[in-house]
Amino acid sequence: MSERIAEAPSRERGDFPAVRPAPSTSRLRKWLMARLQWFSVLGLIIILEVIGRLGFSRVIPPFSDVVRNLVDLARTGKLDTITLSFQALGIGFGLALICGLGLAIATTTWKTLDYVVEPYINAFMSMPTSALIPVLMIIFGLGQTTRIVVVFIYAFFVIVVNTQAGLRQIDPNLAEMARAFGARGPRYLRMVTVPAALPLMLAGIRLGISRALKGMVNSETIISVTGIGALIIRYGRTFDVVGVYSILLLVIVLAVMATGLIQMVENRTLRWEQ
Amino acid sequence: MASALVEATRRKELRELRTRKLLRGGSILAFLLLWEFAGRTGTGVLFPPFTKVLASLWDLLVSGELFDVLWVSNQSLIIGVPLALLVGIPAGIVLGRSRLVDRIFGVYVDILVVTPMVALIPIVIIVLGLNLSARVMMVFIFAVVTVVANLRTGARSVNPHLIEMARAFGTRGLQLWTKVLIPGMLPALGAAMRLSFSRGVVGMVIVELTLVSVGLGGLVMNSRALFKADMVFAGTVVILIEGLLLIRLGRFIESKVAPKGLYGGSGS
Repeated sequence: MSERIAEAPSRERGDFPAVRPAPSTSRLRKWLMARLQWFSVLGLIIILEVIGRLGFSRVIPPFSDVVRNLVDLARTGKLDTITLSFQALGIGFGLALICGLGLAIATTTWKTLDYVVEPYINAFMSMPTSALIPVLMIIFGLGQTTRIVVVFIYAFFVIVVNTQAGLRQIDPNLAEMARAFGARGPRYLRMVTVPAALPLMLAGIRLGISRALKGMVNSETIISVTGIGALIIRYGRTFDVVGVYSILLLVIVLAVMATGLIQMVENRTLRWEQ
Repeated sequence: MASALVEATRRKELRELRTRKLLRGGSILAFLLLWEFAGRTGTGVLFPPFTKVLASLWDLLVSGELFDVLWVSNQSLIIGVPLALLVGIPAGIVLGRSRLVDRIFGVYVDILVVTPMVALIPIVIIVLGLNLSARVMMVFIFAVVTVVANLRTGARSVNPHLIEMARAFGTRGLQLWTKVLIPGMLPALGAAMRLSFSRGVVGMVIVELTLVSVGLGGLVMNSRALFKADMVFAGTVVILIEGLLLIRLGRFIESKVAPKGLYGGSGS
């Protein structure tokens, strides 16, 4: 078990067995390799810019146009509708976090509850959640409530399942030892449960925020009244290529930022685990 | 004496299993009853009771419309998912085993995994039009990202001790692949296949619910526009059932590709 936690950083880097001796590399090459991903993205942006300028294809505008358009949209207030999006995201995700952690703790404590709730959790994890959105539109209307509910549903189950997994893989020996040393109640929680379950919990939260964002965008796209999703549909319907790319860029930036934030917290915690 | 203990434990387990099943069935039944009740009282027009939805489902079945709709929708799935597997599996493996390729292209996989794919729909439609190829493309995109991400992780985490041992015995090249690497990746392969089904369904449904109103999604959205709530619910139920069935199928295929416990994960 502790192997899995210790392995976590090296898992990302994919270490190969040291059977082949590493070829000697210059410092420049090493520096380049470390930053290769950034260069790759930069390269892509440059390629897109060039293709766009050359006008090869109607559907690939220059990257600078896309950025300029995005800034314009922001300045002229067309993006104000996004504040509503974020409201729904914040409330929905916050609720999902609280309820998700709560339910996960509750199901690991009381088995009967677990039995009752398990089929629903499994069902929601296996179904295309977006299919529920029209039904939710009927029940809750076309407003903010529906979006909050959708964000909640998207994020809730992922958080529950991952937190459950985190709680369930607590080494029983550790738990017994802590109890033998007299740790009870809140102390036990702080010393044993939280540290042991934290990695998977954080993974669940990271996945949860990404799901929440997807839920937000999906619900807005289907409801199509306000928010980022509505903009996606509008620019799509009017064949506003630059607009579509602008919104896509915005969405990507948001998604990467949100997930990246939690990923940083995760990495910090994992490092502490060493 | 020992057998009596075993007997008692087995009986306890069976009893637990039975209580589990009862609780499960009970809660589902309670849910359906609640649905029925909520539909008959309250905002009757907009929230149909369970029995009404069943009736609509029956209508769909009898009139044959169900099969038409299912066929139209699933065309994109049938073409898109195998394509996603065909492209995604090799791509994921390459990303997992080659550090260089991973450094260059891995970023995009990571970005795509967290991006709401819905944002890509307009571009796809602008390029391909409002037709089957656009839908296939969306199913493909939804599925392929997950497949690549999974295979990448799976290819990376083939037990390095096994690889080292195989290399020490002189295994090289193709044999290394067929005897060590690919069997090591089978669990990830199985998982990727299962996930490709569920992601494919998601892609199929989302496109139809947003821009290309055909098939199941089209049925749901059109019914919603016409305020035929029972049909919306019925359509949704069909989608959900199909989703669940495909997950079952996915799990079955996964168990065939990577039988549990045969190819030990890390260190067995």
